[in-house]
Amino acid sequence: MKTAIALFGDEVSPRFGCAREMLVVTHAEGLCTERSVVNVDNVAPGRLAALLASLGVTEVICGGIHHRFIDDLRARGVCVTWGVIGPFEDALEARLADRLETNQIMTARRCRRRRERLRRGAAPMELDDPKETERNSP
Amino acid sequence: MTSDTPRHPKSQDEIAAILDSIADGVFTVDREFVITSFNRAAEAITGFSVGEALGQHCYNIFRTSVCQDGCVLAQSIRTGKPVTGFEVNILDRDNNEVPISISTSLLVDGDGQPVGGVETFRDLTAVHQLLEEIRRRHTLHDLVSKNAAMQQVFAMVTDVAASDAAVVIEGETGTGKGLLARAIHQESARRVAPFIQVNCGALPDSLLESELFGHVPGAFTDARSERKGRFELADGGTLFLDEIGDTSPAMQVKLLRMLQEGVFEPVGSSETRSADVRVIAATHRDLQRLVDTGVFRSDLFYRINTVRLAIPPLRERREDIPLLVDHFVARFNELTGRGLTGKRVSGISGEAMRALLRHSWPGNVRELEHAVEHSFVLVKGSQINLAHLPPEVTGSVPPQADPASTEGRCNILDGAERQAIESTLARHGWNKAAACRELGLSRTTLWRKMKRLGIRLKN
Repeated sequence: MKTAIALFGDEVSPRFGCAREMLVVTHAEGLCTERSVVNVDNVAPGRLAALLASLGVTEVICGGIHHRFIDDLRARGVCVTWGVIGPFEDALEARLADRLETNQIMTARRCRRRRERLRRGAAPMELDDPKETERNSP
Repeated sequence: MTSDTPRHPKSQDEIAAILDSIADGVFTVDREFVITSFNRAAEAITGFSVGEALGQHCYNIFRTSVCQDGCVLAQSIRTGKPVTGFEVNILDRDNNEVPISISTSLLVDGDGQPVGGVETFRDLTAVHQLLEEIRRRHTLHDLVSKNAAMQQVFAMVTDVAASDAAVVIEGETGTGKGLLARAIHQESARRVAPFIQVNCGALPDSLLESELFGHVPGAFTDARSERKGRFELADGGTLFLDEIGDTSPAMQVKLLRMLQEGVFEPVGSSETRSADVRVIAATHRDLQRLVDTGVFRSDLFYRINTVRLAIPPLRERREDIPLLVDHFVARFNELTGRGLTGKRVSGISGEAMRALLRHSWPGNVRELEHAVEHSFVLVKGSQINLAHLPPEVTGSVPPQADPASTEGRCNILDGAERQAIESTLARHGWNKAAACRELGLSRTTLWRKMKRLGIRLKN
């Protein structure tokens, strides 16, 4: 089975149609047998579903996705798990373990700590290195 | 602190309470674009609870098309300059697209040091629905107009479509007679059956007869097989006879028989056939005048003239020009978006729009459509400018003031007056006395107007 995950850095892309790369993973019985990154930067949005279907992808994991993409993918026999937030490796791990659901937030440990601090009303963590800030900006 | 001095809120709870009382969505991020506060309106608009949003990167919650490339909040944080009223579409928690207007600015601490950014956003769903409703009121299938006369026509279409009455549509070439006929068909119960169009003015009699009624093998040279006519093809539907005023008297007789009795014979056959067809006729000529001069049969005129719809020329409904331009820009954007040229036009410059408003549009809406298409071919950026318009549009009238101004309106009126005088003079072979009689002007007044408008007599 082939699963494509829309990428944005080391996270699942927040919007399928804006993803520049897709991680295509071949897996069976919870084990990954092959993985490759497909550059889709120059693929017209209207051609994305056809491209993935031609690669043999039967499942897409992404963040938000426009309904027209869902319709197009489903028409080509590709199912979509959307609304996934967080590191793509965590999303893949959850998928291989058959634990991934629509609208699932894959909260990383660092993110959990940050959230707890914010809930307590403490000042958010700040990066002192401006280069690091630039690198992280969307 | 005195009782009349405003007290600055200090605690997190107080700030949260203030933010929650605001009708617009508000959230703040740190320098990592991690959400640090998220008010109640933001929860309602995005569908994400504050618990889900806090600690997440803002792009994971808002999921706009500019989040990954061209983030407005990042721009504000980088430049320190606020951005206001930027429209984007987000995907909410249920994956529904929600149009919002956003304003962003840099967030600084007490020492003036940047600590992140703040974004306020407003749900535009209701505004967009309202705009769509207005657009719907100004649209009838492919016809677009807010002109009062056209609105009357739009209002009549539903009633006309509900009946099977014959309709005559009058209007100059390019005004959209075919589109109106198609709209009537689409609104009628016959919409499931074919809509067949025939241009009576484009075919000679013999060909038109075969086209309308069909022919049998051997009816004429090269008629090797039977061919169904348009009446038969339109069975159960609508037949649109365009330019009916250009048909010959002999063809008018055949049409009259079909319309009166619902029967016809294919060319070369004596077999009488019938078809259940609703006929909509159109002409760019004045049918009543043709009847008066004996060019058009009065019995056919009264047969097809049950309901008469008149489409005014574009020069008499200039208020539609901006609406039509938007309509064509959206349509060509859609076409080019499918990969024809890859161009995307956001609109038209004020100068170019003024040129369009000044032009007399002898080719009516079709000419305007072609002018916009011409601009799409030449445009390089996202805006159509004066240089992208066809020369006949830009060169028709010297540059003048804003048509919305008094001076601009005077120029439009002058243009119309010039056109009326020139066409009347041309009709009367540039005989001023005859033109004066038709226009109801004295010779002196006509001479004065011609001098003011720069009209010169032609030999």
